[in-house]
Amino acid sequence: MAYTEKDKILMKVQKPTRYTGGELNSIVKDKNSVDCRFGFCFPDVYEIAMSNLGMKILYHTLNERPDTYCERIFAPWVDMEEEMRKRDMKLFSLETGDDADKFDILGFTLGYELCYSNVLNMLNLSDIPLLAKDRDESFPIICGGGLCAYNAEPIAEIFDFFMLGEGEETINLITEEYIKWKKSGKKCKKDYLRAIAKLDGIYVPSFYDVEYNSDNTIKSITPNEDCAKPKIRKTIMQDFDKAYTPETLVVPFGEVVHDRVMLEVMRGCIRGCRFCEAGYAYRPARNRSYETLTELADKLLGCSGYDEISLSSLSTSDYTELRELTDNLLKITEEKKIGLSLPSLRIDNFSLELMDKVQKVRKSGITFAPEAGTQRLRDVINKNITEENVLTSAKMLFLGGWTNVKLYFMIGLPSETDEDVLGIAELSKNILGEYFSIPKESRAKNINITVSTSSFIPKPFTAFQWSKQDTRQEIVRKQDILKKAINAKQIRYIWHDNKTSYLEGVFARGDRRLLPAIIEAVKNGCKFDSWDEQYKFDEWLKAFKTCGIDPDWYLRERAYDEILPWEHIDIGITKEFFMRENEKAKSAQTTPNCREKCSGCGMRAFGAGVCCE
Amino acid sequence: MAYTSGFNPHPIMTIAMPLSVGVTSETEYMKIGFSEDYSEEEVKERLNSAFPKGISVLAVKKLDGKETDFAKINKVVYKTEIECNDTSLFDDKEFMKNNSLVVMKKTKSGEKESDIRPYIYDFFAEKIDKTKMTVNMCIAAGNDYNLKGETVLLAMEKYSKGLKITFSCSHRVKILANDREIL
Repeated sequence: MAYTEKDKILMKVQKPTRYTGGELNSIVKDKNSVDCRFGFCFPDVYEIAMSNLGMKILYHTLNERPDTYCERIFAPWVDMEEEMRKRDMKLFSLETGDDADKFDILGFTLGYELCYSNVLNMLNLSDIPLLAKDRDESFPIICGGGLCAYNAEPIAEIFDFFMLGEGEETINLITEEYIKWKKSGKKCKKDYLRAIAKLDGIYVPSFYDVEYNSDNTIKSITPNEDCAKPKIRKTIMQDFDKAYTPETLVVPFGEVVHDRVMLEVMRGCIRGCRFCEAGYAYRPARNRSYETLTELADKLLGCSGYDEISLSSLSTSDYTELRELTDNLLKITEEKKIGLSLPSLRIDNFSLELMDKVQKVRKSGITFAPEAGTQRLRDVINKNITEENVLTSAKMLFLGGWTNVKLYFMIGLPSETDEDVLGIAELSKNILGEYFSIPKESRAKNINITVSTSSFIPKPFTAFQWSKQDTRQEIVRKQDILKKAINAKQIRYIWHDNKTSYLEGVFARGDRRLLPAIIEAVKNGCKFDSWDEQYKFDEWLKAFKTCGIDPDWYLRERAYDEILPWEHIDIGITKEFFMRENEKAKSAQTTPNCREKCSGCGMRAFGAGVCCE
Repeated sequence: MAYTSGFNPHPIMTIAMPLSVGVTSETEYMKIGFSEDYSEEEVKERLNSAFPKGISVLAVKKLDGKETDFAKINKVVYKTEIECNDTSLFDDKEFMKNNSLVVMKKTKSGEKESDIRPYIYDFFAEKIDKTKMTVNMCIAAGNDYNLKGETVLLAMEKYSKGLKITFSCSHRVKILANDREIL
């Protein structure tokens, strides 16, 4: 038998099945008989990449096309990268093992800001020049999508184009245009970009010039090509129930983060939490019918052999056919001895009965996300739940035998006072009080409450996009207040590291001038920034300094009339709506959810989902 | 399929000596419990239609209860391809003449020294060129004493002066229970 260089490395690295490919249901095609080879790049390690629903959908969407072969290309873990660099091995795909620079198109998923360094590192590993302007027609076209693509300005100049919004249709269109361009001789890259710039949801960064004022704010964002629209609007799947969804899935050899069948029951969210970019960006909320989902569940379980299925959405409790769906699913899961998990159920319409049916025996942990400690602050962020809601559901849980409760909060929210921070301790204490109010014989032993806080990061396309982000010192101070205030031995407090939130905040509302610092940091070894043990905060600070950038500047409060770096992007929600929401936040007024009452955010123009109910 | 009873039912299925990642094989055995009666032929056909490329069911035999006990597995035959600094530094007959081969061996409670010589039953090397050779070995496996191929390679290096193995890749040829092939 002949061994490749890759085989020899694999015996030396952790978890070699991250790199082997060949999993059940992975797509095998003849690479020589297709017109387009698409490398689906995920800038994180295999276990994260393979848990990503978007990746699963688009991988199979593209592979439905006989003219295209979509392969997966993931970031190698640091040990693998070291071995590869020692041998001058380039980044490779899992399916054919071919080098990434041999592909026609490389498409990156940008799910979170801290993956930016990995995008650069992956291009480095492929020997592909970083800047779009330095790549001629002989290099792959580099594109990006995902939630962060709405403001990926810090790395915009790396990309030939971005796909804004839901990509199931767009990715087909840009592939078709690519094949046309390739067949016409691939003469000028700009011709291809001009052709796709006309499509909905396509943003070509090089077609826009950004000018700055002397105070560093943005003066203008101007199209420099006729085909470039002044505002680029995102795309959505109009009829989500009928939209293509894969009836197969790749089954990893090793364990991954979400190692189960994921059923996307709903896209978008009706809630309107003012801090949540996903909640706004995926609007309007659209259901998939329970009949479609039942059929899909059966097929996905059958082809994968998984013994667990979970419902996926931003807020599963708001799925209108939850009862019908779970009744159907329970029939399948009971017969086939399959586990059903129901994440992201809200506590205000929590169904204990359902939980009871699903988790007949195992009382695993339950997570609540009140997000803020006081009612005032919960109203500010439009998290429409009351302390009474939380306490009532906690009591129901304790009576039902659950003893493991996790509570998620954010600190650093707009208008937050020390009283609000102390409210987190107070609420946790009251939950513990509910447990002790139950007679000993009716409650299970060993109550365990975990309070976890993350730091609030103002995100683009939210009501808080203008807000100031708390300094690291301020976050630490608030964490200390909380540490002191939580003293019951049954309550454990864990907090999120402020250094990663800092960088995430800088990138989230960053502009094109950050790129030199990112290039510098990657040169000095920064990668896998979302992995605590890999994160090199000092290198980042050094890189900003070297490039003459003050990262704090990106965390300041911004005025309504300031031109934001994402001003030319249109997610369908008007700036006026966000301003209204921000003003209401200042006076702690809530906004009803989309199903209760339309608040006129602008999404109705898309004529889909909850807007048409 | 038949499932275990209890809080978390799982399919009744046992794989004999599961292979480590990176080892190939031509002989694997598994036992599956069914809740209904199927013919051997049907089980073979249906598994083969579902198995991924590279794995196929060669034979199926219906068992009653405890018959064919995987706990009786005692030997495994490997064919291991080796790349090293110099194959002339190794002599299989000399190697086997050692009365004891003491190497560090991983156990449940950590690493400790162990004499593996009694557990190597058959061993011969085919030299391909200066750096490559193939080693065929029949070694102990199973509940009583489980010897890994890599541990034998450690002994090869330790007991052959100057030998450095730079790469190895194993292939399982046989699994024996009570010294006999299972099916």
